[in-house]
Amino acid sequence: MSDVISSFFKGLEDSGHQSLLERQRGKIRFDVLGGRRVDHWLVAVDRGDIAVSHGNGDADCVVRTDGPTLEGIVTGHVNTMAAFLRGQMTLEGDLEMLVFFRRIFPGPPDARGPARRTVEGVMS
Amino acid sequence: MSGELVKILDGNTFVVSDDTGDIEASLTDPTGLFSADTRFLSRWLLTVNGDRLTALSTDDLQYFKARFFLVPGTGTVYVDSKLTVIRTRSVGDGFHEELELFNHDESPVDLTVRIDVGADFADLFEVKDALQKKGTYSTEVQDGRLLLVYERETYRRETLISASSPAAYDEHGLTFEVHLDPKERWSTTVDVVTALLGAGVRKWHAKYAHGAKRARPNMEKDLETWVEEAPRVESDWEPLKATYRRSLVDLAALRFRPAIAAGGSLPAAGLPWFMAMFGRDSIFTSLQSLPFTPELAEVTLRTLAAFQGTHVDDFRDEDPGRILHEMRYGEMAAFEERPHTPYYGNADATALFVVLMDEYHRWTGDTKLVRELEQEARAALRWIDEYADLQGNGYISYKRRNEETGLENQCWKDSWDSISYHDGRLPGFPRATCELQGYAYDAKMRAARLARLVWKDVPFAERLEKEAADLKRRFNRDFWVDDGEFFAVALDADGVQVDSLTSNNGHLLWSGIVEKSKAKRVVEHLMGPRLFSGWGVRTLAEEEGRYNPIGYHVGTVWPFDNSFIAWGLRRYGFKQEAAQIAAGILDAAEFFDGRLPEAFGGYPRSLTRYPVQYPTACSPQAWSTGTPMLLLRTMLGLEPIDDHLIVDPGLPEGIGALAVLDIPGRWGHVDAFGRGLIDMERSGPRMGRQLGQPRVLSAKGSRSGKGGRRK
Repeated sequence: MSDVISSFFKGLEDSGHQSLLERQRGKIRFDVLGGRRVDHWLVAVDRGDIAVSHGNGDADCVVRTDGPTLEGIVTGHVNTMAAFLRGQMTLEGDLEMLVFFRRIFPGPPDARGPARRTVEGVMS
Repeated sequence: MSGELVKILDGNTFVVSDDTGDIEASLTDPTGLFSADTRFLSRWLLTVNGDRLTALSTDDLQYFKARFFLVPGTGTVYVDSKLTVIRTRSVGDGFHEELELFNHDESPVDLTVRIDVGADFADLFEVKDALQKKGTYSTEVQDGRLLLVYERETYRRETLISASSPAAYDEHGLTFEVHLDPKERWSTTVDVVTALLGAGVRKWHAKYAHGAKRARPNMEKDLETWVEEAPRVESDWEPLKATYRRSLVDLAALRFRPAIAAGGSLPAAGLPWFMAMFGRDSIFTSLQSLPFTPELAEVTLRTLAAFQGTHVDDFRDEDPGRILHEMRYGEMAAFEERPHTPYYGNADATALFVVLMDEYHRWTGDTKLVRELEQEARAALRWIDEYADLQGNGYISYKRRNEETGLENQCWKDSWDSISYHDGRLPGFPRATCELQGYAYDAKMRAARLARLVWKDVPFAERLEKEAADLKRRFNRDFWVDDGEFFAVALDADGVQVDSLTSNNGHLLWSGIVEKSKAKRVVEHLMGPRLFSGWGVRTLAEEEGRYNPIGYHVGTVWPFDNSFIAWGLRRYGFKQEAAQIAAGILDAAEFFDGRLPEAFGGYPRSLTRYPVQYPTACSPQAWSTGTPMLLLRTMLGLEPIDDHLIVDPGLPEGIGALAVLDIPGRWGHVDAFGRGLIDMERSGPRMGRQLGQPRVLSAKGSRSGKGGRRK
């Protein structure tokens, strides 16, 4: 099991609450295929409150993917929508759950953001 | 073949064929079956005994259904055939085609009926830019069906073809051997189903059963309901009724059902190449159609909110709070050769999202949705202050971070030369175009209203109003061109005015950022001979360096632009001028059988006597389709105030009586009436086909209408 993925979900669990998911209620499960085993991450969202478990329970949205793809996603190197269109993830159930969930995946780590000029000079 | 293309569609699935129903596309030829921004069929040729067919007639039965009456043989002066072929095609998840053959002869015939099939799986962007594919193709002949496959790594797209009658399938098509006795009829149906694999949208069953005549069981019914449920328009001026009807049906065709909207739909930008979600286009069209079809605004708000930016992503020009510009599902988006997953490079949709939210609330009273979207509205407002002020001068400006495939011009006038100085020079980046500041002002004022009424946050409302007032004061100082007495189209990277006279001044009226004392001069410019053509307001004024009456954003008249200008004129009390613009644009609509093009030439009306259409691949265009609806609103002066709909007509005289019946809103349903009393002299409607030199108005006043509460 990837440490990167584990620590992402651990961090999520520790946060207890995600304000960007306050309109969401439901469960999303990530099934991560690695060789002959499948890891399950089940995230229950209740108006922003988060509970993470490692089980194979029922979910409103099931995302199937492989380790490297999910690692890329939780580190901001892979874009969720693009990976989905490429077929690196498949989805069963409520697509909206994933659309909202992507809010809490990190963005690209090397992003500069808009170059904004201030009275002192240029900041980025 | 006449060269006329036949287009049918349902959402983002559409079929473009020649007038016989055949598809014979090259990489650059825009015919085919398209779905999810991918061409799933590039070859679909019907032959009988090896002969191609000739169209006797073609009927676009509905926007989702066409019928082709065909006979064998091509290119002769007349046809003398004993055989008729009728091909009826309906679009669904792919398409459904019924073939009927009639033998009119007195002797039996044996026929080989063949459909040649091929798919290049081109991305829409590849069709536009003629790019080469990177994946591999394969074909599988299965029992009773033909499967066409394209694969690139984990990306897989499939087209499945199957017929209801026995056929011989090979890698390049399917063949029916048909025996027809005298006067006998034979028929079969063929289904073409598209699949996006790996993406979890695998569906082998078309939404229709074999033998069913409709692509989707309730599509015809759905269109009927759509038209029936919309308000009715009554007028002495017949063409206006036809234009309204055309708009309503076209708007139905432009509906796009996002996968996350639970079956609801929002307006896509244009047909067929822009059947996708566009922030700006969906918002403007939703604003235009609010009095008629408010459900479009609701789905637009929900969907744009769901995809609101939350990251800083340079490739997608994404920032937290930013509203998307365009979303695509094709191969190039999937492999990040294009940034549309989604792409956020616009500088206006974020403020307009808040504007729409408030306008939607004023009409529908849907407090629940506004409460739900509070977080997104606040994030949008934060984007204006924290991410959009690139120059640190308190104004929204834009400069793309994706320099390879991002958009250079992130305002609605998005062509390369649309923003220019009076002498024709182009400014550098960032650019702070004027209308963006107007939208920001309006967004803050409207959000302040929502903060008080719905979010119950008075300090936030006060802060927004204070910021808006400050913005207005600075804007009227910094953008006002003193010697010309109008607002500059932009400030350049050095904060210097980009001093050309443009239609953007009208959007400023709409947003309310113009100080009252300056409004009269602005209106004189808009209605003066340099901007007003007699049909409408030009994008760029005559005598400007880059003025060209057939230049995309540098002289043409855009119906959508004019509808918002008319709204702006009403906002500042210029009733007659608003009526004159409505008259000009609606007159023009008559020349296009009620379907306004994206843009038409800026030639003076007195010169051409008819509007010269700008050549464009997309028709109908959503915000042109919404234009007559907004003009109906501005002519009747419809304004929702609390739980009432105020009606304050200002109609061109030639229009006679006008009634819009059953306008939905927080008041239930009401009717609005008006009578045209504003004398347009010769430029008014009904005079449309005569010479119409714009003239100084002589107002006789306008009788006020009434709003009758019903239901």
